[in-house]
Amino acid sequence: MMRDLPPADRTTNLVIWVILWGLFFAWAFATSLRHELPSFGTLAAAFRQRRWARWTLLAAWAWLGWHLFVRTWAGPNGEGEI
Amino acid sequence: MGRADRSEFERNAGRASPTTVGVAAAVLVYGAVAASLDPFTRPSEVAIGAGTVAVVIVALRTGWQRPSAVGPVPPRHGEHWGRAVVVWVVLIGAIGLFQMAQFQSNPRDVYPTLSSLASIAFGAWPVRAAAIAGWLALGLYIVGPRPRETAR
Repeated sequence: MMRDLPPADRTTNLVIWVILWGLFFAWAFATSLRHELPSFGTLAAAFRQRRWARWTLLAAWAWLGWHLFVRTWAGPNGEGEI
Repeated sequence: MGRADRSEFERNAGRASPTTVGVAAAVLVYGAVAASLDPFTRPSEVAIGAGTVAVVIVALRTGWQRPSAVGPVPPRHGEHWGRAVVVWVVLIGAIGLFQMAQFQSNPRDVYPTLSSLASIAFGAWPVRAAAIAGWLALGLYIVGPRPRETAR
């Protein structure tokens, strides 16, 4: 069950987030230095080749703005609705 | 390149066009204004909706939706290309799966999602203003004109 996968500990979950994003950015940096490897920008350019992919990208962008800036609010002291 | 050409090149090097400066200023002002509006209110819905509509208008005006607006397929280099793509897929998939696992779990304090973490940072007005401006800039980048030749 997916709901049993994350550790029941905030610190551990935060560490996992840091590791995942650390690996992501490390790989992004590595591929940006090596010409023979596809960078994130190259992947994005390949993804944009199809019209449905471009509209999907635009829809995801619009959803992100709505989700983060209209429907999510932690408040200055973290007391809000998330 | 002659002396006059070089001089012209050096004068223009690193300088943004007035249009670019104007758009950047408008994006920053938009971020500052939108960040001052509380979420879950009609004004914030209107502000974010207006930014979305503006980007869609730019997309339609630049012909972004036409097939000709897409640049060439990025060239593939070397035998490691496929394996590198697999690494990308694994990394993005792992982030997506962990996000879903966190989202399915409660309470949010123990299982933070990306948006719950971001919203804590967005509690500070300058960060929120920068994030909203960055979001709009990203939208304009997505629908902006693509270079005819990719760099890589």
